[in-house]
Amino acid sequence: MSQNKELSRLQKMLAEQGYITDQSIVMSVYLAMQLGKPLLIEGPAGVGKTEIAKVIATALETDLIRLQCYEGLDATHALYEWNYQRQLLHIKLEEKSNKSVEEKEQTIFSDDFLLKRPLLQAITHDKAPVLLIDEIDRADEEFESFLLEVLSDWQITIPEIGTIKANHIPHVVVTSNRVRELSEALRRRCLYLWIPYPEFDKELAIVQSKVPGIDKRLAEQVCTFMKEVRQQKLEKIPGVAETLDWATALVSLHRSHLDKEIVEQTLGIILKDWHDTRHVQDSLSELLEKVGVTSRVG
Amino acid sequence: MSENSQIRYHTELSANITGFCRFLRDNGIPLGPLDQVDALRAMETMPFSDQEVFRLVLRAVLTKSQSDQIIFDDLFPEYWKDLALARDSKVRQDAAEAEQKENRPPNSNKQSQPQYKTLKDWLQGKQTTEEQELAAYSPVEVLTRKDFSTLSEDDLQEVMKLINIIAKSLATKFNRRFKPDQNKGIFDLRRTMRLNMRRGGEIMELGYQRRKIRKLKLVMICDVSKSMDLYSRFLVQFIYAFQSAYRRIETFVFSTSLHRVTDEMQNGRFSEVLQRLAETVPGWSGGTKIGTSLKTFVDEYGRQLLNDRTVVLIMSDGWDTGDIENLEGSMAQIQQKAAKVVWLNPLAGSPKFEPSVRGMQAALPYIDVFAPVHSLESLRNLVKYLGKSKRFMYQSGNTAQKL
Repeated sequence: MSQNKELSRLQKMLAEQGYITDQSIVMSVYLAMQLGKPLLIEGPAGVGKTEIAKVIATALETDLIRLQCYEGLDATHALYEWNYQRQLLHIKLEEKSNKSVEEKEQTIFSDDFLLKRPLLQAITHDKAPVLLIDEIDRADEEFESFLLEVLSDWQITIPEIGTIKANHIPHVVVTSNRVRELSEALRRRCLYLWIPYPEFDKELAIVQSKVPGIDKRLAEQVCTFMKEVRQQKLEKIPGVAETLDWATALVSLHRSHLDKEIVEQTLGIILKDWHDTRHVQDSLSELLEKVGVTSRVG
Repeated sequence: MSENSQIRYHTELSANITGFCRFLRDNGIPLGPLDQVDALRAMETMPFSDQEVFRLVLRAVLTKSQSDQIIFDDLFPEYWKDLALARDSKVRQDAAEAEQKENRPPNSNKQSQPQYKTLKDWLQGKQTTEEQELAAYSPVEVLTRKDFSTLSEDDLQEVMKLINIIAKSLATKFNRRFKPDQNKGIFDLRRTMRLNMRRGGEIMELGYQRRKIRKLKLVMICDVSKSMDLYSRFLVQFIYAFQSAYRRIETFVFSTSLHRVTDEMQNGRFSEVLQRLAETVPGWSGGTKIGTSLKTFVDEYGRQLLNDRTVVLIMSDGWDTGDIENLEGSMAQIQQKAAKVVWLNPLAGSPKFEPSVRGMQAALPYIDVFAPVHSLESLRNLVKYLGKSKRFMYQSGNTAQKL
């Protein structure tokens, strides 16, 4: 695999941060950085979409700037705002000075009085940061098109100051939970990555790397159980985060394997919905059988 | 010699990538020329090593959604396998091929890539079966064309998922259309002045403007009488999905009389909701009295529910065994008070449909949007109609073929 030195180097870098990947994830991350395109990540909740951005930032030894999207998010919260209080205070302080109006104006509309929001921060950063635009599907379409503009031009115009061009183009990671379909235009501009629930082997590797000291048999049982649980018709399917929480809990309870009792007691860690809990409880024996736990009571 | 073949290989590779892009485009992945450039640039960053890496590079660059990836995974082996075969035979037939090319009719010149042409010929025989396979691959596609009346229990899960997406996009569309064009959290000079007047103009407090979010209220009135039997289960499901996606909603069902079921619809799984509905609503699958039911609605709930921020959604086939005058009167009142009146008729999807039913005829003048709900396809279209401010009347004649 000497031709893919770059790839395996990246995979190693990610692994060092405790992020277990597979080839398609590494490839997408690599190409996104090579081609300088935003990486659009979709997938069910709890498979580590946001985590990727954090890990890339650590691996590149740069900062992570995060823009959390929500309904009603608009340009002032994403770009910049003037610090009105400070401006007023400054005017007050300068009242007695003999500076001209123009001079005063120039001071209060300078960098010192500018509150930089994530997008402007990302653009003016010294070293190309990782810009995480989290849950873009929560923001409205208006914001999405505004974002498109920023992502293509990498410059922001502030009327009082002028146009600010990006020093370095940030590495952009956009995540979406598919609450709403994203616009075709945004998709076009990005590289697309779909992260599904991990395969058994991958999840096992994740558990073993993130929960040190876990019994091998327990880890295997946990992952098999999770795989089976995800096959059930549930309202909220547990993600990798839940697997890790559960494994950690079991380890701190000094368990070396699963049994029916402990699963029942700790079910609340992986299932967050009452109906789901009831559903799984009903078919617990059956599930555990598949995992290889025979329901010997006592 | 080896150097020479190396170069040939490279040019061939980029031509093949171009060809592959076209192949994907023909099969429903919308690729632009820029994507092609990206694919070539991506290949440049990584010398061709093995098939798997090659596949991953193209997959990462050329697919833009999960459904694209499903198509891609199908097409990739198909293309390169056949291409390899085509190349083998090409070596043998090189001379013959060149001759043939000159004799080709001019219209085949449209495709400038020789590889692609060969491949296309190669694939010609297969193309139809391939399409069928593709269709079978996507459960979503199959479902959208199916009439809801024939949905099986298992399909409902899939339907539910789609409805959720539709309901959400509907919900966001609603609240955007009517919000004032003000930004949230913006400095408000006027308010600031006013706030600080009492201090003799000394500015100490700042005023901000907030965006008023004027969300629309949605009133859904669903016909569950006998004539709607085939559809009412789906419609109730539609309402259920809608109210879990959009909170400002009031739901009613009627057959011979009107029942408010907003509370019954909330909380719990769909099966429980159905159970509760069955318990509280008498006369399910009974006769239809739209007029009386709508009159009850206007009389009892009109005052509190009907205003310029309410959209009324009526789902019925318009068969009325009751009083037409009542229907007309109530519809007129609803239209006058509500922001929009939408009438969804499951029968309108049928190509032979004419809104000639007496009840429907009477109601028609008071409806802003009239559309079919009989399949997911029609629901998708509905989203479009609702977004438009104009009056929209679905006519079975003009779009029947598309639906």
